[in-house]
Amino acid sequence: MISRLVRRPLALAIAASAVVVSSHVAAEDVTAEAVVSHYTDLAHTTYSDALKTAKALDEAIDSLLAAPTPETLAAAKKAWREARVPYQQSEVFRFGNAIVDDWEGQLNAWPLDEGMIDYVAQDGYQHELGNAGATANIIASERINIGGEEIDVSTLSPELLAEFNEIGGSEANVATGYHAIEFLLWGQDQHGYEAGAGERPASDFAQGEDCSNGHCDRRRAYLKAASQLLINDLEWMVAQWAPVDGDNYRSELTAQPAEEGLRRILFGMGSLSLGELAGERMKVALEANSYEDEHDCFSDNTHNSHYYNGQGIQNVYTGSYQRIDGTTLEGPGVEALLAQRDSELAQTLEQQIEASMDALGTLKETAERSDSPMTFDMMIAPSNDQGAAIVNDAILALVTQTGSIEQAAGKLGVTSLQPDDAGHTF
Amino acid sequence: MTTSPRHSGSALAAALLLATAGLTLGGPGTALAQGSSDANAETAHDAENESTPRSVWHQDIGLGYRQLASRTQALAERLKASCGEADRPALRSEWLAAYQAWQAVRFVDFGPIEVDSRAWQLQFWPDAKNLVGTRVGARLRQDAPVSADDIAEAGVAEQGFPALEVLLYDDVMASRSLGDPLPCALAGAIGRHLVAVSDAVVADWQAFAPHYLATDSYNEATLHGAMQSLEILEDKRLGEPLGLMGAAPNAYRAEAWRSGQSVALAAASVAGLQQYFEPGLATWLDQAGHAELGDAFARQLEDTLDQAEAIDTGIVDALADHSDGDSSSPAAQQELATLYLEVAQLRALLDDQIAPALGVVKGFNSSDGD
Repeated sequence: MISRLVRRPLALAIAASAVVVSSHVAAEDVTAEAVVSHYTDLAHTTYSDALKTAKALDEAIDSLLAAPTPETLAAAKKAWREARVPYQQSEVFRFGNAIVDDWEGQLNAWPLDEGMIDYVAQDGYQHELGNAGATANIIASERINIGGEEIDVSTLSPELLAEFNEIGGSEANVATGYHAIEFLLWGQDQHGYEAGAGERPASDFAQGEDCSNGHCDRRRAYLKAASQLLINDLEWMVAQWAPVDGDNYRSELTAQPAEEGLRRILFGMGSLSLGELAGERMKVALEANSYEDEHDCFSDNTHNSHYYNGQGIQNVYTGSYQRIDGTTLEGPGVEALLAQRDSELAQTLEQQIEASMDALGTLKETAERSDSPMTFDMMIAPSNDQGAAIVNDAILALVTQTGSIEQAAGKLGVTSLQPDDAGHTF
Repeated sequence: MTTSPRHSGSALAAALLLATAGLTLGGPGTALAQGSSDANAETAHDAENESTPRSVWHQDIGLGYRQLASRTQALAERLKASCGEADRPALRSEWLAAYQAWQAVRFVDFGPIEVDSRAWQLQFWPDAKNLVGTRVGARLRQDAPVSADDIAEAGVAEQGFPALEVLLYDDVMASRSLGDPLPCALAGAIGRHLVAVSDAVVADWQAFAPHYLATDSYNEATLHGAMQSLEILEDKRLGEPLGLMGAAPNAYRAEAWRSGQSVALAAASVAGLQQYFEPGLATWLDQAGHAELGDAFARQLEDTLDQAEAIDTGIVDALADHSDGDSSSPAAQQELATLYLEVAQLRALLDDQIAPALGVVKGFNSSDGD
């Protein structure tokens, strides 16, 4: 599985008739080049934080495996939640930069058919139709057969797990990444629309007689391998954005005309805002009352995943990112450049992004309040009008800001918002 | 019940709000739409009585919506009259006719159809995790009788044509009669809900007329809708189940896999583009001095429709034959691959030649994510 190393050609999708960025910008003004350059700094810093928190998660997993107790399991869960904070902010870099989009499936693919990884409940496990790997249970098996392909899984390594992603052609076959680790730490959420997340016992990682649900040694090996692979993958992506002379994605991007950089920046903001976050991650789950479509369905951490997705969009717009150590990276964002072209639109978009952060903030607070919290899977329950209203407010705010992002693209001379790979290939 | 969008009233104000803030952008108020299209300026100068692309589209799409309403009405009446086992063939036939009437106008993804996610209320798809089957199965096990309100207030997985398909075709019904009180009441409630949604769309589309006709950027929104519908038809409805998108074939990806009517639905979509989209597009192309592109589009539509209507094997059957090693399967699959290519050519014509000639560029759409 080396597809993530294969770069797609960075085709210039800007039409020949692209509006040329106006040239009468004064020297002290923000340039498109400066915005693109700072964008690569934002990406590098965000991925560096994701890597740091993934290493902290790995240490917490080591402690869990050394002594599987409710306390060490809780500490590992906490580390996982903290690792999600920078990673979810990084998703604004995903769409638009094919190098990220091609790579991220190994880290954040969802929804997954968790029965490929470990035991699941006999009743109520709904997997993707036609997925031959949905019940493979790698942890319980030395050899498995998916769609006629016989695979030796006796030794669980990061490399082996990576091979299982999308095996048999199903995107629901997710063997690695945050959600695989989430499933191993929490287990299936059996509570449906009711309060409560997955309740995997710490003894699922115990050695010897104390082992619950069988195959604990293999479950331990699986968890460690998945954690190691996450670190490896993040290290690779940090290097792609590092400010070094040489052959990495940052050099490639900054060598392009700045308009191409802006196109990728704006495409990433708009696609995350509309199609992914408002659409796939909220509207589908809400309208179909589908907790199977909940993003962090094992941990019930979905509100934070959504909130920090929104935060990532705001970071790129304002140029400001708060690191996990509390310090702030500042620089020229899209807003500074847009303000020079259309200060009114720049202000409108700032307010709209602020409004969507407020709406996502309400979603987060409602899920985390101490007095009868309502998590995302409860909000989307049938006839929960209050929950539906909270989710809908967030969706509408995101839709509204996307309209302005599209307008901003026009003002900044970006005439095509097609992703690199949208071309017709037959 | 006013906070959830599913239950909120379908007032014109809501239609206008969601028309501009719908999940499919590209409608009015998007910057890329403005300034980039000189064709818009031309249509604004038309004399009052002359046809404009939008006056043609508004009329044609309205016709399509009325057709949908009349077919769902016929379906609901048949369900009301009787839903015994003996009626199953007739019910299937009414179901398909109404479902096809929906396919014909499915390319319109803005305006009244966006309100309350009505498009999903009619057809929740894709449904990789079988929510429709799970939810309808759960209904069939419930103790209490099913009322029309239950379905009106349910999630979209239980409200539309796919939910009826479960009752008319799925194995879950193999051991019980369609005429039993619960399945019969459930089918009737779904039928009535389809009528309610269709009627609301018809009424709101009329009320939407002044706004639609006065707003130039709806030219682009309407074109975007057709472009998007062909992308979904090529990639999702044909390419993915047939295994032409880089993964193995998977018959469950075909949208009507239970009934084997996926190709009939695809044909209805193409026919709908021919009836309700092509005339307005031709008007626009004529006025922009590109009549030849309009002719080319009409020809390719005809070819695509011919191919779709010539296929009598469903996607599921073609793939099933293949796994059995049946010698007839390569021919069936070849026919489907040809249809896929015809659709791809139609889409390429619209995306790569017609849209640029009209000064239209693609914006964000709701499928930009995963």
